[in-house]
Amino acid sequence: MHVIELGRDVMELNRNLAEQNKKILDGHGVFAVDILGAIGSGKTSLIEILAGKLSEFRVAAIAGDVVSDLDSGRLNAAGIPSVGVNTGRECHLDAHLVKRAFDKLSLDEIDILFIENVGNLICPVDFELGSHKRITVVSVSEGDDTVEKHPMIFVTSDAAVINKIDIADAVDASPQKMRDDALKLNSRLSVFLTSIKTGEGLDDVVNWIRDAKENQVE
Amino acid sequence: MHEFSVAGDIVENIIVEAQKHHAEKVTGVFLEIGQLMMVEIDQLRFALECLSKDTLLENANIHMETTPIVIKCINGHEEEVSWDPYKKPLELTCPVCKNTVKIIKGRECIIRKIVAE
Repeated sequence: MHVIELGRDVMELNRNLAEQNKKILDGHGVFAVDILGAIGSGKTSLIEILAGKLSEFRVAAIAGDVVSDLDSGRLNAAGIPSVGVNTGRECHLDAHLVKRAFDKLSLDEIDILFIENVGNLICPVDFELGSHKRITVVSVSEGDDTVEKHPMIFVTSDAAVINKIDIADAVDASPQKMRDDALKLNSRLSVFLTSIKTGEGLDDVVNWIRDAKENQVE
Repeated sequence: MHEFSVAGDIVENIIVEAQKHHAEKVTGVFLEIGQLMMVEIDQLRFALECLSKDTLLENANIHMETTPIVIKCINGHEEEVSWDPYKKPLELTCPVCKNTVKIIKGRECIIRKIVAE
């Protein structure tokens, strides 16, 4: 019987791959933004809207789903070059899957790449992908205690989009409570109250992305 | 519920390492799981037991220890903090100056050592 000392972090492999992904993106001048959030929070709709408003940039997307190419099909139909990534049984994208998706994109022809994760507020947290910014989308219809119940995704995000505020009264939710909860968890977070339906708050998200991209170039 | 993918990486890493050392059986596994890892310890244990079946890890004693969160604030205060998700919400601010912090440790899943025969 003998003891073998390892001291090996199994999460490191993904982290290293994510670092490689970031280098690839930087090498091609691509600014990548993760879009995380629950099923039905409005991730795909947000990408469609943002791509339209960021018309001075060449925008593309990687759309992760457990199965189906519905999201990437929808984004392609909206004129956003997109690659679908099926995770099969997994509940999150990982850096390896994203790296493989790069091969199907013309990175030299992309300025901003949105990476839409699988609809889930828990699992994607542990798997960095190599993007420059992380946005979490949460809708009021998930309940206004959703933010406090899922702290880690907000701790590791750069921005939170609290969506569907136009129906907040109907679902008895307080967007302000959600914003306060998010800022309590992460005071560096940029928080936006939005409605994709009415367009409220979306220009602020667009400007935040523009600023973040500009800072990447510097 | 990504315990199975994490467990798969753990099992794979241990098998490769055990084979390198010409081990026939692994009887003990010592893991350190950061408190901020989004895995449930009991589910991870179950996943490890399932995936170890018919491998040289089968029936190994799995020891799991959760390791603390270490944060560092913009003023350089480095502190160890503890989080029990069932008792209080996570608040990541510097206990000394209440400033914004960065997470230094707490998101790892370390195979510290294995016992092999």
